[in-house]
Amino acid sequence: MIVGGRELLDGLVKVLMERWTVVAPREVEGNVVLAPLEDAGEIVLDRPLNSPKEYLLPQEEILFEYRDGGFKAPEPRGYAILGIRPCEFRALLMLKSVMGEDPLFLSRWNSSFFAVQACTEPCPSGFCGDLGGPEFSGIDPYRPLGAPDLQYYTLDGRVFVDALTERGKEVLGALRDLGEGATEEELERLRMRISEVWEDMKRVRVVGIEERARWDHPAYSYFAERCIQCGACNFECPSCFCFDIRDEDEGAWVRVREWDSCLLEGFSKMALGANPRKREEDRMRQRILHKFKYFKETTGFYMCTGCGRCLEACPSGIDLREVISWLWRE
Amino acid sequence: MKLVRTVCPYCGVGCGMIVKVRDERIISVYPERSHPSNAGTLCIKGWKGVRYVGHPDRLKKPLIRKGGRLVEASWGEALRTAAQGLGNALREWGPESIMVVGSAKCTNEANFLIQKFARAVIGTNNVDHCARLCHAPTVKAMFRMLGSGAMTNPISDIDLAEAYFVIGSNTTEQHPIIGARIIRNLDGKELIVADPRKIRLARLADVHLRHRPGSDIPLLNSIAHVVVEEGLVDWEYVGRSEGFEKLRRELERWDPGRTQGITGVPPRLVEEAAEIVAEKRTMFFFAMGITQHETGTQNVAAVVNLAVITGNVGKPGAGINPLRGQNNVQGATDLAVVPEIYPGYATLDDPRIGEFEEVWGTSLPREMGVMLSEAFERAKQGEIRAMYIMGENPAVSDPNSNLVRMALEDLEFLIVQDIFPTETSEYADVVLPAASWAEEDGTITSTDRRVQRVRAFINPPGEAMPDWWIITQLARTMGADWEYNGPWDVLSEINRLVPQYRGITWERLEGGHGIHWPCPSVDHPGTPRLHEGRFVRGKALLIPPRWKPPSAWRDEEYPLIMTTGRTYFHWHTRTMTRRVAVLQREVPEPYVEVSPEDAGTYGIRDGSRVVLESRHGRIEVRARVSDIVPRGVVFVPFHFAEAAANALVGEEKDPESGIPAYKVVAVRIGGVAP
Amino acid sequence: MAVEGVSWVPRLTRVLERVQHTADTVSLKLDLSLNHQPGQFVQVSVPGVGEIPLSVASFPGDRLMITFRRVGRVTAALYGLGVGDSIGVRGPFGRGFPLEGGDVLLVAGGMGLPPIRSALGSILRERDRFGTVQLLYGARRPSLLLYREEYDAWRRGDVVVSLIVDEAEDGWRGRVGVVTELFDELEVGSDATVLVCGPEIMMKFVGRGLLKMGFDPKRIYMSMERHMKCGVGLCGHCNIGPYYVCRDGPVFDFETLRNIPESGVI
Repeated sequence: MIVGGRELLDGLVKVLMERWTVVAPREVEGNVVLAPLEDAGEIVLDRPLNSPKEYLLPQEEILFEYRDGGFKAPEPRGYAILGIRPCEFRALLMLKSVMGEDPLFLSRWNSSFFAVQACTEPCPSGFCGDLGGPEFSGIDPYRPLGAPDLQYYTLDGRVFVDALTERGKEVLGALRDLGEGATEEELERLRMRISEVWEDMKRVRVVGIEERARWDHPAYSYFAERCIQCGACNFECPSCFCFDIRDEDEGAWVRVREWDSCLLEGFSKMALGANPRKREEDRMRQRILHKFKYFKETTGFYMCTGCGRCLEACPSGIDLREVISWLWRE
Repeated sequence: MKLVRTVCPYCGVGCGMIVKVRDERIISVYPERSHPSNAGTLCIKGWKGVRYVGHPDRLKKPLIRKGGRLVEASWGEALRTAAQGLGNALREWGPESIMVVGSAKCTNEANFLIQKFARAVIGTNNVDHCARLCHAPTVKAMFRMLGSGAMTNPISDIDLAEAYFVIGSNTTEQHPIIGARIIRNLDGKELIVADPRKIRLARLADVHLRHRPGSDIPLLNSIAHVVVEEGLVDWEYVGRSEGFEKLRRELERWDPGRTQGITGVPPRLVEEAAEIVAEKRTMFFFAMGITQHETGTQNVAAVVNLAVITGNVGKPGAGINPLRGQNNVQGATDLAVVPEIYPGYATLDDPRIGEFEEVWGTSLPREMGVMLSEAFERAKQGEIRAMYIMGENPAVSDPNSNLVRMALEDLEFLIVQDIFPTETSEYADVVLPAASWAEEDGTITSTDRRVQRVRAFINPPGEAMPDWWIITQLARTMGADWEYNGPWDVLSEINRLVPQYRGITWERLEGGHGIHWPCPSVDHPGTPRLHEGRFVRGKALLIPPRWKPPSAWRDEEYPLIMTTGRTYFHWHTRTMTRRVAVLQREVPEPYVEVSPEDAGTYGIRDGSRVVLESRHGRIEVRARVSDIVPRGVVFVPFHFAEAAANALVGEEKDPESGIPAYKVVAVRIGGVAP
Repeated sequence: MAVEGVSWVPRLTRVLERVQHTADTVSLKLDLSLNHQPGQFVQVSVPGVGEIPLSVASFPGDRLMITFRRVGRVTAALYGLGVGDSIGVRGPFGRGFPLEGGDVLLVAGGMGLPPIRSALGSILRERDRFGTVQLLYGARRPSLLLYREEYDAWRRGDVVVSLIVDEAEDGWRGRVGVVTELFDELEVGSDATVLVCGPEIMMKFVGRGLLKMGFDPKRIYMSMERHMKCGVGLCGHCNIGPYYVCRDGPVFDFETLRNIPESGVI
């Protein structure tokens, strides 16, 4: 681990820019957006309004084009993604466990570099306490699935950068001149801060919830009644992977996929009009059970890492933490 | 790659969004966190719906009719043909033979220019837009009673209210972010919903007043009756108004027991509603369910009365909030794309018109022009000979669509300016391809009077051009000496001529989240809340509302009441939303909502094909059996040209505002197929 | 997890033959041989219009045949294709019917016959591996019975073919009613393997009836329909319980389905 000032972070971006398009939180007229940087100095430390999912599974992308008698499938390149949080990186690991064989996803994943920003401040809407906590540690429960290349912390105006992979170590090596080794005292303060944040983030118990997520729980219809079907909880969720496929005819045959939402009626409607999840509460149940029961039963992980983006994006204020608490209560 | 901050093109809420663009394509859409109206949220149309801009169907070249067919033409030829067509009508039949239609989907700058074109270039007040079909009664009644026809509160005031009274607005479907913001606030707050349909907000309401269609005045009067009788009147507000005594006398006869026979609402619920609005800081919301009636203007008056006597105006979290439908219907009305006023609500006898004459260098008409809702009838009779329609699709959106189509057919000359071919452009002699929301810089005015910048971030397809440019060129081709180098020049003319917009300059709108009008000077912060401390009019005027039962009420021959409206997933005549895969997937075809009771009576099953007939037309649609509608009432969304609900709507209008009575149409089931 | 080597690019092939079955139902035979397992499906593309999942109706190893009714946008476009037209195919996908010998009962309703036909093809090729083989097939009207010209050949192959329709038409001398009424003609033993495909409501009553007669729910196989988009367990549309119909199905045993509340067959 090396420690430095703000110039260490800028230096990191500069080093990565030599090989990648760097995606990081940057300011756009009063908003923080996770987006490609043009200049190393643009990176900010605030949590961006969008999740990193789109840099591996875009909102919309072309699967293939057929023109002049031949198919053309894209081979997209990944990004160096900075400033995403441990919860989001874990969610991307979930995403990979599903999408790992998808050629476009894989092409991006294999050429991406991840630098996670550990949380030295609690966030207002997250609940990662039971799902890994505010840093991606060496003994992280998600570690068997992968690790970010780098992890950085900020505390009292200082930046701490740590490498978790070989590739990360290489990059860190190039930054040696910009920082120094961390003192034992500094490390201790950092550990203290992380454990404080972790305590704070233990806002709702998640482990074991699969046993409580019954089929006929009243929470589904209660929250479904409040859902206006904007799709935002799915769109903003870094582990929601569902997509729709459509054809376009723009002088050529183009097949496109785009983010979809399981809360929409058309998501499960079949050709003849029959719909196994016609009622809103059926769809709300599906979202909850898929995340907290089915996925857990088949993979051993929840398809939720407690990032809280869904509740931030919900116009009606549906709070997943309330849903989970209710499942525990009855 | 670029990131552009702009405002959603769909409804009047005016949600801030950030668009990521690469290679002339929208890559991502993000709800803007820092925007006070939507605070990091969007509805599905915001998330998904903006991708229509890149659709291959876009109009890319001007078209002119040659030998009965529309063929591509150069801009020069198209503008000359358009100018000639209008010029001929002007010479042969005079300025009153020409109708100009603006659009609540276009910018303030485009709308200012199109009404200027009608008034200063053609010389007629025959200019209107779809506000005629939505909030004309609101403007009429609220302007008269309060001195301003617009929403009194900013959207963010929803968080400050203690109660909500929603009447005739399916808010979660038509203004989703406002509807959801109400839901978000429901813990510990009261919600009253008055609607014949059991809409989402009604299902969440503390009090659902399920009154019969067309009985809004009896219902509102009965609530006001209880307020007066129970001594719940806010006397301070009565002191700030005039006409209370006359109103009180009128209200005497509307006791809830008597009105139940008309409204079907039990007195107990009326009393509960009265107590809530009298005791809590209440925001009133209403929309087409109040205005689209023969008594539309009086309906609005009834809402205003109730809000004023309970002291629910001009306070944080209390006020009267007509929800405007289109992204810029507020602006198009402010800038007088209507025949009865000049920009900034200058009436036709207002000396301010002299100022317009001075700046525009020509004498201007002072006679009331033709309203959109009568234009097609007039065309049918040969009084209107030519039309210039920008960004509207009356062949589907206007009542009695069969007549509208015949009238369009009969016109000597028709110019349609749009982004897609529409049912209306099929009748055009000249089609002018316009830039879309994504390609045109300008300003729009959201429902809460928030004037905001929208930004061009891609190039228009082919030869499509921004609306302001097209209108300017057409005016110049007709001999006017217009000089605008961009929409900013138009806005500065607006700043000069429209008092409410005086301080809302192009430079000030560059950053931030817009400015609420009225804003009288460049150092004025704008006015998020109207009537604070004092009504704009001075004293509020209370008016005893006159009620009459709807003329198109059900009878033996037509035993059902059809009410029309919109659905969440589509927008108006679907020119945009049917080109967005996910939206079209959700509601792929027209339908009629039928109550389980009526379904039983007529042998209708969910999914049956049903023929619906009125005295004016017939349509065939699939049935959705649902308890959203009460027995005796059916609901049809008007989006679909192939089953145009508006073909069933007749000629009944509110005499005061000219709005058609879309909400009450007597119909019958003319046949059922399984 | 996901199928290895997912590719979004379909194989382009051509229509070799078009057979009209009813007013709105056709079969297309394509210039592509497929070694599939009966019960598996393919994703069929009409270029520029879209892609839909369809059961394989042909026999394994034969030229691919699909049978469909014109109901939506893509099927309308498919319906409009003629001999020589281009068509895209991905797949076969999913798990099909197990065919391990013994008695076999095949139950189909309406448009559920195509994958059952494919299974019959496999059985007929190795007929001596199987015991009694019986097909119960129901349709709304006699004129809507699919593949009518093939029934004689199936009967010659020692398959008991029992038919029933909801409504009779002129000249129909067979039975009228729902497919479960044919249970009184059963010739297979209750240890038979059962393959079922048809509307959910039909499968529900078939399952219920067979359980009552002592059939083993683990040996009753039903082909599920869901809104399948990607075909390879990624897009999420066809998820039921912990399964993806496209990847873990479309054929499931009834024991599994009985534990999924939204399977629609319980």
